[in-house]
Order: sequence, then structure tokens, then C-alpha cells
Amino acid sequence: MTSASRRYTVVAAILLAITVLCIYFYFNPESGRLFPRCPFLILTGFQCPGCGSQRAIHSLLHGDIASAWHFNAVMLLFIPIVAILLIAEIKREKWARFYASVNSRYVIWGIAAILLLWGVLRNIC
Amino acid sequence: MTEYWAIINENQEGPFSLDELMSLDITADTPVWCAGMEAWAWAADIPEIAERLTSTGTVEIPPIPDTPFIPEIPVSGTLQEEPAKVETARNTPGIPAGKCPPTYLVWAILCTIFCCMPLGIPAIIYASQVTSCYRNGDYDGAHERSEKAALWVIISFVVGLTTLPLQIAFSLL
Repeated sequence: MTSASRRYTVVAAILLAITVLCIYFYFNPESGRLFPRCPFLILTGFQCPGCGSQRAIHSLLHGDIASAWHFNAVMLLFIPIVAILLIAEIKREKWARFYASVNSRYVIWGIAAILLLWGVLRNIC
Repeated sequence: MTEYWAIINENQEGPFSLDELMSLDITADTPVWCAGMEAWAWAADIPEIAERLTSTGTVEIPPIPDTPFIPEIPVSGTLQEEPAKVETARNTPGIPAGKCPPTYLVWAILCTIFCCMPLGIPAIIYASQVTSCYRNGDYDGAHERSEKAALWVIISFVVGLTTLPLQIAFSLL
């Protein structure tokens, strides 16, 4: 990607993120309709690791961390992790060692284990 | 006059004359190739380029005890002091050595949480193999896993997006 097209992509991504956050701020996914339902939950009846994220984001945007934790605790925990990984992704060329260390297989296995365990535990507990 | 090719920001660029090449953003870690060479080599390993790298600035690859296969940005010292151990690790014949290919891990996580959970998991598995292969010096393997990780991210994203109307329709029931 050239630097110009990369810049447009970044701007488009930021605008999209702001739009989505505005929607989740002004509308409550719990009461309001038109919010997508999890296909995994519809098909299997089990909650997937991401279930409750929409409600959690809505709560978080209103400063209600306790509710956000209640709706999806792992999503809340993953916000800083995703932020660090996103920075590493953006700075992949310049900070090659930082990228390699946050993308080490132990980190990735840990993330996969947390997501899978969460997906199982939230359905049996 | 010898013509040089270099891999800059993951793109193969060239041909350049030596002067043109040196005017680009070349570091000791830039893969360079010219006619007569069997394989791509690091800029620091090609005498005529290394000479000019050292004349403009000082170049050295510090020893990396924990992560031996990850190229380092040169900091200080001279090229001649480069440790032999790092030298052999970087000169894998026939493979254009370079930076670790992207793992797409962050996108795999976002897809797992927000798109379609089962399809994000293979992307995460492939992401872990990218760094494993890269650390073992298997650059081809790392690139292959990187592409597969990207493929699964795209699959889960597309499945998530195409079923979105259906997911919204279910919310109206």
C-alpha cells in the first residue's frame, strides 16, 4: 500500500469506528431492535465468546463498567490487549522486535486459550 | 554499471544504480540483490553497500540473545564487529530474508469477538504458527501461514458481513 492509500484507509477506519461508537452510545442494543443477533447463539443456543459485546460497549460508553463486565467480561479485558496489538500492527515495520514479542506464540496461545475457555465457562457456569 | 534491486516496505523495487540505491532509505537490514548474486542478501553483507553505509553512519547488529532470528535496527559500532552467529542465521540461501510477516492477530481477535466466533479460531491458530516458523528461520512457512491467517480473517469477516441482514432480521422476531 502506498502512503496515500494507507492514509485514506486509516481515516476511513477511524470515521467508521466513530460512527459505530455513536450508534452504540445513542441506542441501547438491549431494548432497541435492529441490532444484529449472534448467529452462533441462534444456531447452537450457546453463547459465543463475543456474546454481550454490543451491550457491554453501550454500558462502557455510558461509564457503567460494572454492567460492561457483567455483559462480557473478556471483551472488557481485551480492550487494552487489542489496543497494544493494534499499535504493534501499525508500527510493524519500525518496531520489528516489539511486534515479534507481542505476537509470540505464547501470547497467541494464551489469547486463544482465554477465548475458548471463556466460551465454554460462560455457558456452564 | 551494476543494477541493484531492493525490498523496501515489502515491495521489490529496482533497478537502481548504486548511487540511486544509497539515496533511498537503505539500512543494514534491507534485502538487496544484484546480477551475479545467488540470492538476496542484507545490505550490510554486500561489500560496496556496507562500505557506504559505514561511511555515512555507523552500523552494527547487536547480539540478540533471546530472539536470534529477528533482524535488529542497527544502532552503533562498526559492521566488522558483527557477530558470526547472527551472520549465519541471516544468510539463509535462496530466501529473501526480511521482517516477520504479519500475523493478523488483532483482526483475528476482533473477528472472533464481533463476527463469527468459530471462523476466527483458525486465524488465531495460523497467527501463532507465523511467529513459530519465523523464529525457526522458515521464512517461506511463515509467509504461507501469514496468508492463511489473512484468508481466515477475510472468510470470517465476509461471513459475518453477509449474514448481517439475517442477524438483524432475527432481532425483529
